[in-house]
Amino acid sequence: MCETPDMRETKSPEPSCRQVDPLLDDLIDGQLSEGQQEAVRRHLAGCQACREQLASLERLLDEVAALPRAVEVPRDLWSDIEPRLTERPMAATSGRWPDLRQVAAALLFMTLGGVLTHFVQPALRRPVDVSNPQPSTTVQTVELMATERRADFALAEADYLRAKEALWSAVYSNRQDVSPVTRDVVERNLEVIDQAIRELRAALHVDPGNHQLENLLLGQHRTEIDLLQRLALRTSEI
Amino acid sequence: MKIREISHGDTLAREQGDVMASIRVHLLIASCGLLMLAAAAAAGSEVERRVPARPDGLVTVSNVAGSVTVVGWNRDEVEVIGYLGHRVEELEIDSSGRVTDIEVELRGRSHGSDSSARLEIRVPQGSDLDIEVVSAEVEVSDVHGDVTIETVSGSIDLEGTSKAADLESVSGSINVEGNFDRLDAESVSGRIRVRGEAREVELSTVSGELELRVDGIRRGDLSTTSGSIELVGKLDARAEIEADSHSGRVELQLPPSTSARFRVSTHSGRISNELGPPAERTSRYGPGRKLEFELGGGDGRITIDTFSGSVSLRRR
Repeated sequence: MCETPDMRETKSPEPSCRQVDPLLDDLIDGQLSEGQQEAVRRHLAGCQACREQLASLERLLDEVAALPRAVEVPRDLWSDIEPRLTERPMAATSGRWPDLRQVAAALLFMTLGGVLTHFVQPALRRPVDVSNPQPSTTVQTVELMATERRADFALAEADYLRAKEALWSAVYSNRQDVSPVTRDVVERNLEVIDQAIRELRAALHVDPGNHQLENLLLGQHRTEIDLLQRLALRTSEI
Repeated sequence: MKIREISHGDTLAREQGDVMASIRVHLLIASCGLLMLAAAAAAGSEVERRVPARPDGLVTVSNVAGSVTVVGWNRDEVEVIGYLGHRVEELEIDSSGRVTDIEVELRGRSHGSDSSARLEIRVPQGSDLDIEVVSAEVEVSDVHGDVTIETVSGSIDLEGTSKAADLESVSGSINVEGNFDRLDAESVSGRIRVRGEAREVELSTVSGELELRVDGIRRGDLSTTSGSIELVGKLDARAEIEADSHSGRVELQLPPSTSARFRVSTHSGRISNELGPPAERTSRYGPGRKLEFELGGGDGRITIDTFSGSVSLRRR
């Protein structure tokens, strides 16, 4: 049983759950120093909640690694961008870039979002063949699948919204670095997408669970995320 | 006396006139000199360089404003001719291994035409290309390797035959003509126009138009929010095409010999079909329409989804 972070912090210098949690990624990647590793492992030995968190993270990474290459995971622009930021700050693409942590956070959301979407999309696209039911396909099963699909859809949409929020924050804290013309184009087009999202939501309100509308809505979210991502990572105009 | 006075006065006047004229001439010369200096400063400098390059190497180009023109040639070297604005610090050309980097470096954060560079580059035809610009216009022709181009507001013109092309712009238009195994193009508001042949295409824009006059598509993924989609061409026998738009019009013009299964649906748009049966309503009361039919042997698969955009299937 894990103690609360506050209790732990007052009792010993050992890291608390709150301190350990963000280090789990690095532990898996082997990025921690020996001292950090030892401290985290000592904490894990006595904390079941963090052990479960670590196991869950490892499972997720295994599942991601097992995804087929054809699966459309959002493009990892980070590896592409990072060297430019560090190696040639005054080169042609110079200019102030968005806070790296914000962009990294956004990309993390997006990666998770992409993964989630890949788990969700097949479910959304899976046809429910009610005209030719299999022995196990009862009305209840169909209803259950529909309910699960709606839950999956809600999760996927929430995930996109989180990613969007993070990217907005990155883009708008540095919006002065984008030329007025580009900013105008982007804002007008974001409004086009937002209008589409509003229309799709209104239609879904009238016809909840409509598969086609759900897919169109997720498609618009994806388009918006993609636009914000590009703006956040690339458009520091000189 | 009068005459003298007149003469003296005349002489004085003439002398004064000569002095004034002389001053004017000097001023004119000085002004011309200053103008020439200013023009020279504004014109910046011209650079011409050649470096050896591998026939299948990678050439990267980075520029902000102005233009980048790349042409493939049959020599194993890269030639760069650059016309640089005076706020361009340097045109850096590095060649190492299979990579040649060409980079315009500016003095600080510069704006305006004096920070632009016009680059004319020749590369081995088999090169891969990676070009990044902001507002510069990019033209590429006769390069057969993989081509990647990213712009913010500059237009992209790509012509020739490439294995793969990956093109991205925010507001610039993208024009492609030639023969491509794989073509990815993405814009926000810029129009994307493709002519020629392509096996796999993935095109998307928010409000720009997608216009394809392309034969041989095996896999096509076309997507817009409000922009229209127009595809005219003869598809591969087992083509898989997906086109979706929120409010944009989608039009496919295909030959009657096309063999494919069609599935079209729209929430509130119209569907017109010259290739098969008319669309039907999805419910008695709603505005939705759908259309499913098979043409020829039904080998390929064509899926179109819109929210309010109209869909038109026309005979070519």
